[in-house]
Amino acid sequence: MNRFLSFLKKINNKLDLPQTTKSKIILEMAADLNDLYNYYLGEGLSEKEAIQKAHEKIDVSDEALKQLIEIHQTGFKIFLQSLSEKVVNRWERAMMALVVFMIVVISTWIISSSQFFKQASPFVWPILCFAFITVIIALTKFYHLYIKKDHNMKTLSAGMTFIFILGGLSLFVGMFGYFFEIYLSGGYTILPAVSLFINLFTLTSTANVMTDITDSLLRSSSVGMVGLLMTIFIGLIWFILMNKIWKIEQAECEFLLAE
Amino acid sequence: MSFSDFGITNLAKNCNETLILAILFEGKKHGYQLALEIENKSEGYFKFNHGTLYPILHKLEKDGFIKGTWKQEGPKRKRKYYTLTTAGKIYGQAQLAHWLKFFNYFLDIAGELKQ
Repeated sequence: MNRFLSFLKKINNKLDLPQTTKSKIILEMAADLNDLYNYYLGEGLSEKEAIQKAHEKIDVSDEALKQLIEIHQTGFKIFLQSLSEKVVNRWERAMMALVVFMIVVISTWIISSSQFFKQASPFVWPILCFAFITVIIALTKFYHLYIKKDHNMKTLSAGMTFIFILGGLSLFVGMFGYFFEIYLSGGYTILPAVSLFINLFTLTSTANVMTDITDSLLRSSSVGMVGLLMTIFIGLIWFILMNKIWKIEQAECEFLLAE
Repeated sequence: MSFSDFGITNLAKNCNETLILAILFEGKKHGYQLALEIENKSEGYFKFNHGTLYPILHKLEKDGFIKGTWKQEGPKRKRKYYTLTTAGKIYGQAQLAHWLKFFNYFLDIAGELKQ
């Protein structure tokens, strides 16, 4: 297909889309170009003429490219692409490594303390469960992508959407748990403002009320913190694996085009 | 789709879409096959430039009227085949109904020129 390489590269440069999407469009065009080329060769044209005719036939106008960009460019895709392309220089990589390191250290420090388990909100458990499932999937993906390297393009991205959903669920449960715990504490202490006022200024029950408020704040902050940390953790796993998948897809495309 | 959606400005787009859906009704095809079959069946009347074909195919795919699947053909060759979905069949038939209506009205009016 290298006879069409410059033509395809031109289209590739004109398409302002994520590289994976561009690669798929280019691959489709490359296959059609090759068929057209063979067709014109069969018609008795010389190699040079067949290439020329194939180029003419597949001529992709700027208007057609614009339409392709409009079709494929969604807000979500722009966001995903910007995520992957921003970590390019070593400072950005160092910052990312620092964030990962801090998340691991803080998470381990918080979760490993026995005090945390005593005070944690019940909402923490599903979040930890999501993180555990993510780790299992990520280890399997890591094994296939980095060690076994049996890159099947059909199953390359399998499980990635699920990891993304788990990240979203962690955030949702974390935030829901956080506000729910606050709401609960409010129900007992804060919402009935008069009773709170009475309680706070009644010597007999002030200590109990203060303990309740402290406990509820600890519970809500624990679930909020774990929710955010695990979302970042799952997000980073997703990001690292997706970057690898994008690289494999791009390498596959370059390999096919360089045939 | 109302007739206003199927107006004069959308005629070319609708024509191309209907032709593609009709060809895909026969079975799965890739872009080159689609263009070739449309040209052959119309004896060259409809000349399909591939450049115009891709946006239509990708739009139909995005709308769920056709489904694209990649197939490995040889060690270094991949092809994208398109198949018609159930929604695509319904959409295609609706398009055909619009075209029949369009030609009825068109010939009713333009037929006057015959006399």
